[in-house]
Amino acid sequence: MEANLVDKSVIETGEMVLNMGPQHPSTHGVLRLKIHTDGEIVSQIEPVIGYLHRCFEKHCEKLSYEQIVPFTDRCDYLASMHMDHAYSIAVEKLLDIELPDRVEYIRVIIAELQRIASHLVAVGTFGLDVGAITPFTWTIRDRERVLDLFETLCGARLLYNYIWPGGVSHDLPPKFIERTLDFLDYFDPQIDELNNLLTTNKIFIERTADVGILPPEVGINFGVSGPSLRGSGVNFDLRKNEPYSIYSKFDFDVPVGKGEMGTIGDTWDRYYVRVLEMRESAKIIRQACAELPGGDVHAALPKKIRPNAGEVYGRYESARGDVGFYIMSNGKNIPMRVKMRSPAFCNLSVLSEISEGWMISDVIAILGSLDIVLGEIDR
Amino acid sequence: MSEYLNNIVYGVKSFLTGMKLTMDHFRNKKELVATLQYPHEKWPVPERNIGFNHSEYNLIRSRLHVDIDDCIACMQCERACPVDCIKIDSIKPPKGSEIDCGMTSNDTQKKMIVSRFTIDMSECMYCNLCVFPCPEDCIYMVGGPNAEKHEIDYEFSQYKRDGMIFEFADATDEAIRDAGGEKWLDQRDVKLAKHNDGVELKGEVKSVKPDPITAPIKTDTPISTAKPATQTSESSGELEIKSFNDISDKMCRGIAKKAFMAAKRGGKDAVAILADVAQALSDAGKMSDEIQSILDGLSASPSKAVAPAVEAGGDVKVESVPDAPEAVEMKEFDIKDLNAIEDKMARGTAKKAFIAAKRSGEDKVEAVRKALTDAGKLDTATEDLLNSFSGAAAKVSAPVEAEKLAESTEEAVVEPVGDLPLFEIADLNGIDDKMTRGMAKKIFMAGKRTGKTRTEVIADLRAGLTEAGKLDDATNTILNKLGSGN
Repeated sequence: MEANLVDKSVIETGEMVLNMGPQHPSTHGVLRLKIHTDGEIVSQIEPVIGYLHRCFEKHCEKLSYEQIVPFTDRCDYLASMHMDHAYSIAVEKLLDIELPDRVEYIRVIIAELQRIASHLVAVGTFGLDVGAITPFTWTIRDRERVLDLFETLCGARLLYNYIWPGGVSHDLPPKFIERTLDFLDYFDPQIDELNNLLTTNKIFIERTADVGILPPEVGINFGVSGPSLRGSGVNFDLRKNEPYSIYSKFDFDVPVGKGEMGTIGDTWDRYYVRVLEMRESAKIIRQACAELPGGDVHAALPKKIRPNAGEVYGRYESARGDVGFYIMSNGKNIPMRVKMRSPAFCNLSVLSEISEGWMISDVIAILGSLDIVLGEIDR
Repeated sequence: MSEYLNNIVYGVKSFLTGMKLTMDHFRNKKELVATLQYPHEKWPVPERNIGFNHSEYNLIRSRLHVDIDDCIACMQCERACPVDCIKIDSIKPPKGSEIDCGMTSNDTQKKMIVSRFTIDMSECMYCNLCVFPCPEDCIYMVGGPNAEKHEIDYEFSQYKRDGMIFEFADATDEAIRDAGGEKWLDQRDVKLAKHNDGVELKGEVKSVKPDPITAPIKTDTPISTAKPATQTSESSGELEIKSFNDISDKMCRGIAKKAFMAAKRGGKDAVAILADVAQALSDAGKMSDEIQSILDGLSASPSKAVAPAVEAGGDVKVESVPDAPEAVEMKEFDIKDLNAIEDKMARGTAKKAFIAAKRSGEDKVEAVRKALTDAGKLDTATEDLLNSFSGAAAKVSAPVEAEKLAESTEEAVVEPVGDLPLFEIADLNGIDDKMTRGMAKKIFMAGKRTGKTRTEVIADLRAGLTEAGKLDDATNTILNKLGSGN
């Protein structure tokens, strides 16, 4: 006689919705994910954003061009210099001003230092997400050194307001170049250490390789940019393909994912592209430091920014991808409209597509490899 | 099969590599430790040349500070602020009036009286944008390269949000009124009343708290005890317009103040002024028991009464002017009084000792004095301050102190007689070098504000300029001339 111990009609076997966040350490800020699962397999993810929304674009319509810079700082708070730089490039295009060479070199040095600082956080937190705690403390330690450099530069450690439309706020402090080179000498062995500890670690590879594969065509269709797209083997970097500032003068490679540990475009590739990019950034800084010309950094700083009516779009390769500022001017000292293309926002949009069919624990790794900053997504 | 084995070998190898790295760091923790033992160690403050050139100016973003003597109320910082945390009100004296608003240290003639310069540091986003447009270099972030202008002040914290609102303007009500700011003062009083109502609504205990606009919530140069004394002696008679602030009804207060000012301008003495005020109030039909008692309080205290505090019951407390030593003895020694100590370290030591003494019930003045002497921080200014608080008890218990007290009062009486009156700031214009002139003027203003005599100010100037290496022969001659009274 067969005893019917479990009434199968009572058990729900359909789709389950799992809530993750907004307060969750792995969502890198206040992001809420509604994960639709079939058992432990993810079928769909709905990101819920807007918890950090600060009306940046609307707010810009109330502020003068100079006053917007502190707010662009607060968009991508891990790479504030990139945001300032991107915005400044757009405004300079609108004003049509030529910058002194020294300003351009300083900007490149600072931007690449910022890229190192930002990628260190990305790499460290990615390790943290998949369970490696030590590398996180080590990358944060190295990032501190970059922040100390920035502190001597402009007095602030996170929100700099340093790169202004038309120049930079201060010239380099004495010994800044020496300190930067000292840092790079110190930093190169640290990457090797990181590779030994994390990149080639078997457990880490098992967690990340062959997981969350982003095919190049899907990435392009979703507008993914930056290291996340290059991890899929697409050689696209604005610094090379559409050089702004003086990047065309420098010799550097664009690292792309090769699928060394698994398939091209998996989370490990995206992670490793960032590690390699830090080396490339160091290479650019060394070249820029060697060629740094003299001059007055305030030479081209406009006394009052009042551009002619018109519109402009400035593109910039930030640590997260392709930042764009679309500015419309009506001839006043405050912009008529500022639209910002947020790379992290576009990168996040692909999450649902590439997480489908993976387990819940893999979602953490995939999200970490996209390296989102909520301040920029919500802005 | 071989793949399986390779995997195992690779896994073990990578695991061991990681372990080895961790062990390396564990062994070399002296060199590789990244943590800073914060309260004991601090990062060095970034260095830059100190100067007035904007490009090498102002590197630390610690807290905004304003040298209000240099402010010409051009409003550029207010306009530059993206978050509107700076609020400036200024009053332009009417045309043809004799009011001199002073000179800045860059030799610009000021044309306005700054009646309000509030910075709300809880709103400030530390973007530094206000610093750059300032034509007089008078607003800046303190610390680091500006150490010469203002001591470093990071790690500043407050128990209440109000404490983050810094009021820099130091114009007195009289000065504002003289410059034609009557309307502004009335508006401010209305705002203040609303503000105070708000505090009461929140259920906070109403206590005697400093008026957030007339008395700065936190000034950077702490008001020394000498300051109110000089102020009262300068104003005509002992009655002040503030005395009428105790009148709760706004209309009555306004009438009383108006009558007071009219009588004061007529050059009447305290009794006559009070009579006028009473007359004006009863004419307006606003005379009540409460106001009568306030007026009685003002007239009852013989020439000394300054600010009678009227309690709900109508009984009158008289707080005395701190210029007479007998009166000072009555005043209670409070920890806030220690704010007058200029040196930060000494202030800290003194406050610590004060609290310790308060807990153990010892004599606070003696405890503070002892702590400061032990630390070698007891200078004359602090000594005087403490003496002013060592009351009758101290006189009995420590006759030596009493002697000192007598000495100090004697000095205070004698000095002004033997010394010439303080010279004018314009006399310093003879100094050629711009930097030196600015510095000299600053020292002069500091001396003037603390009520120093001519000899003291000249000594200060000499010391300050020598320290900066700016005392050349020409400057020395000018100082000598000033010293001899020419």
